[in-house]
Amino acid sequence: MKTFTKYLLGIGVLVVLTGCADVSADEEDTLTWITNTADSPDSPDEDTNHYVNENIEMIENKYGLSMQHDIHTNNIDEAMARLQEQATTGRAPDMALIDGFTFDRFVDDLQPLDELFEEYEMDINDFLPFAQDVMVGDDGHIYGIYFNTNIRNIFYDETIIPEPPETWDEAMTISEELVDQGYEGLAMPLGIDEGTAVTSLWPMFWGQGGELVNENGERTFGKGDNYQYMLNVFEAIDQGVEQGLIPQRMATLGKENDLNAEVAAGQTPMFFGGSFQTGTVEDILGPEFENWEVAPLPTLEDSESTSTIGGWVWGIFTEDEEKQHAAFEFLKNTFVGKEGMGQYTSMRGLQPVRESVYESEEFDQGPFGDEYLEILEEEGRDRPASLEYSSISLQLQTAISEVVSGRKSPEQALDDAWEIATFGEEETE
Amino acid sequence: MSNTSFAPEPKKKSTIKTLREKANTRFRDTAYPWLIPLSILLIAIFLYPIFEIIRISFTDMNLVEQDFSYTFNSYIQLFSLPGFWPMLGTTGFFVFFSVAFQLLCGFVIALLIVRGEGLKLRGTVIVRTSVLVAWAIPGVVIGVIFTMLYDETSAGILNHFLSQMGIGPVTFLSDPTLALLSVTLANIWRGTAFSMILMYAGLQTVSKQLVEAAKIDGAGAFQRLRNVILPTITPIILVNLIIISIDTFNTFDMVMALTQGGPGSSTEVIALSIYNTIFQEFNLGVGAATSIILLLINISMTMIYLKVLGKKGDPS
Amino acid sequence: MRKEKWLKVALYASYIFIVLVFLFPLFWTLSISLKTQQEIFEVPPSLIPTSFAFENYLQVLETTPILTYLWNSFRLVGSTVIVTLLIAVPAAFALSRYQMKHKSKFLVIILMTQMISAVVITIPLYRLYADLDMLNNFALIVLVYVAVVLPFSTWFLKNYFDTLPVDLDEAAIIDGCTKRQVLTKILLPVAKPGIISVLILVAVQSWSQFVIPFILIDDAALYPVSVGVINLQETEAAITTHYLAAGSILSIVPVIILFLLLQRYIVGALTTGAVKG
Repeated sequence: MKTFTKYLLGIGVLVVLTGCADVSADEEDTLTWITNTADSPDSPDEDTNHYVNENIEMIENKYGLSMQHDIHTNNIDEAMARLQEQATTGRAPDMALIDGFTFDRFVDDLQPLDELFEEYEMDINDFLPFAQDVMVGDDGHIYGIYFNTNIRNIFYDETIIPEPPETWDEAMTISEELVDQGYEGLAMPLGIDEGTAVTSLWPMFWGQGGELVNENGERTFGKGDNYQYMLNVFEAIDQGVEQGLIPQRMATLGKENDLNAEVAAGQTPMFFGGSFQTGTVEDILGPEFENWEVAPLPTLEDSESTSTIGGWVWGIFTEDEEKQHAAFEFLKNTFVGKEGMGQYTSMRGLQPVRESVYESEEFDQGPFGDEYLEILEEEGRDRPASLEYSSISLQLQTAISEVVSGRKSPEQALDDAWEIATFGEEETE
Repeated sequence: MSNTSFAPEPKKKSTIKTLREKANTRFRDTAYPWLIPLSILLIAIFLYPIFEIIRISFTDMNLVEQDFSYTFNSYIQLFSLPGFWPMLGTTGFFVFFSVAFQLLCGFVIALLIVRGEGLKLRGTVIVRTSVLVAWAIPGVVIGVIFTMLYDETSAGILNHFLSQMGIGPVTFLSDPTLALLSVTLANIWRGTAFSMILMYAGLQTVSKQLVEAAKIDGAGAFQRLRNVILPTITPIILVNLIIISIDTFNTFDMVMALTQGGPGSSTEVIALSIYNTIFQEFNLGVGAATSIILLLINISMTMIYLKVLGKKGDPS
Repeated sequence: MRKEKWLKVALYASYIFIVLVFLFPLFWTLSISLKTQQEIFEVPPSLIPTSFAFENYLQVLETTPILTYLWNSFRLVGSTVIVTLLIAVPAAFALSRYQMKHKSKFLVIILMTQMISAVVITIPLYRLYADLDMLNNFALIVLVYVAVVLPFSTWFLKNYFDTLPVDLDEAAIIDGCTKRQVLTKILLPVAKPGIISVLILVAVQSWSQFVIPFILIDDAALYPVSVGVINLQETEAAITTHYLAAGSILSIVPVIILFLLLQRYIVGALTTGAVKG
């Protein structure tokens, strides 16, 4: 009998450890949500952390709910895939932060928000046109609330580079001068991650008139003119690396934020990045930040300037009305209401997406607000919502990284990427 | 020589006498009830998934969408696309050099420690512990730590040391060949501890009298190593070899944290490739087909293992 | 005796080299974790931080879920060890002490499962658990952890029991013990070193387990340390190299302390275990 008791005791300990006896999370009085670390109560930034937690407390007290957050895993493509899988199988959290360009994929599973917009007196027309396009589904209902946006641009130190490059050739010329003076050349993400695609590939590709997919969402990047456009981009970058004007280690940096370390090291006076880095770069550089400016990304010959828009959109999955209200009110107060968005984007140095926020006095648009808004309105372009996008992007990130590290020629890398991406598809012309 | 813990049952009948069983062998008096939980768990967690992964590998399943149909395409795609064979090559390089050097370093360190212990040197404990610590660090953390070491800017510590010797700067992670070397090196660092323990254990079984006798017979250090020590610990070396080879084939946590498989796909080992195919390209079919390749590698290594140990492990 | 002296010197030199190789990466991480942001990018890098910015640790503890990760790891590892022993000990006992048809085949089959990659089995399990809405469920995840270490543990213990003399059991049976009592009263106390070896091996392996939690858990807040650190690797808000270093140190400190305390015991257990088997 004694062994039996021990066995039981063991099982008892287990129950405690594995949390079998824990009250499960999908209880009535729990509001579950998933977000990024940076926009969560776990944010490493103290102010954000404080701000979000305060707002959570307010909603928890008001609705008698406890808010339980999940954190998106590090790789955004993967996080979105998992969220989508949850959504299609009915397991999604009550509300979620969704990467803007994937938002279309979620519309079928999201709740329409028209009534809540009315009830909380939010005006959809106050959102910037591009944001409205994303927020409103094909059926005319509102399914999401755009949170903040970002664009890609060039950052440069004016004391060293008096005039920003407008074309790629100019950028290379400047880069050559920099290298001669003992600085690093042009820094840009060229590793395997989304930052590479949106910062270093798409803008120059789109600028020439290239299209990654056609209207039906099928891949086109390797056919006809598009192939040539992409090859131009690859070759331009390849040449830059070979001439030592772009450091080869860029092949290991896949995120815009990976470049922060380069800036901090103090040897990089010019880099391609995302507008959301502004605050961080300011922190890193301290007083020297005064000398830094931003400009649109340079273009390849005979092409126009484009910039990839990024951004995050909130969506509500829960069918429970009480929870919908709690979620909406939380989002409005914290992130997307006029005051909330103004406060939050000012604090984080992000780009808001509501006209009224730009006009309001409290809004601190940061040092480059006007430039960013101009790039956003003039050059901003969204990634295709097609499900194929993730694999296109991954293949091309890998391809450029192969080129930069010297493993493949531009043609070979591009051909391989196209072959992998389109395997088994019928040739349709 | 005594069999090791990992070795299969020697074919020769065990010398241990089993208890005399009474004539009535009711079920509850047999071994089976004791084995039920084990069997159920292994069937549920191994057998079911294996059938399932075979099934998935013959579909065009996608992680996100629910519809699928049965097809042979995943395999065709896998074998005919650029990338598959280089990926196997990368994996082969990574596994071969990791294993070879883990064995070698593990053996040398174990030998040095045992020798020191024989001379009653102080500090052997410190050496042992410092090597062992690497064993207990999760792969991801090792990846992070080595990312810091391999920093390619002038603020990187390894490059700083090298530059003082007049070398560099070395592109540890951005050159495809060097990246694979760097990843393998980090993996050797990680895996040496485990080899060292096994070798150390093996060396304890080497008879001191035998070594002494060889010494008196005038055998040099190298001869003693070759004729006395190595034969004794051959079984344990083999076991070690198989275990770490399989482990190395199956690992990707450190690589993921260190290079994410890059630059390009120059450090994408098979396990990482499976993961990326499924969770980044959402392609369950091809991911499953790649898993089958990994499974076949696992099985053939096991076969070799059983065969070799069946021969060597058998006391003769 | 001069030769012996030289040998000693050579041995010590090799020891210093080995210790340097194995501890330097950790030392460097520790050093980075105590630097300020400016210091990290200093050229040339300094081995020892000038500022000893312990506030990095405070920052990491306050603003990252590292403690949660550690607690998650602890729960997973603790449960795995317990369940593994509950299943492996009886099985090993039976395999050692009962006669059984096809025993050696059974043993080989068990051993073969050991060789199967966790990546391979986790993907179907991911789909299964997702269908059942049981992703992120610790109890089910522990079962996978256990299954992965079970073959090895059972083998190890079976071999260990084999080394214990059967006379012990026979005497007990004559005294009127049942088989179960033979196991619990006679063998278990004697087999303690073997069981502790298994416990340590299982614990270390589960502590470093990556694939299973990485795939079967999709809420970053439930990650164990072995996965969670990857999430510390990047956040949008700040440069995190020094925080990342601090996080890494925090995530390995518990094990290192344990190793230092138990070091003699661990090596002893491992070697006796491995050799006796």
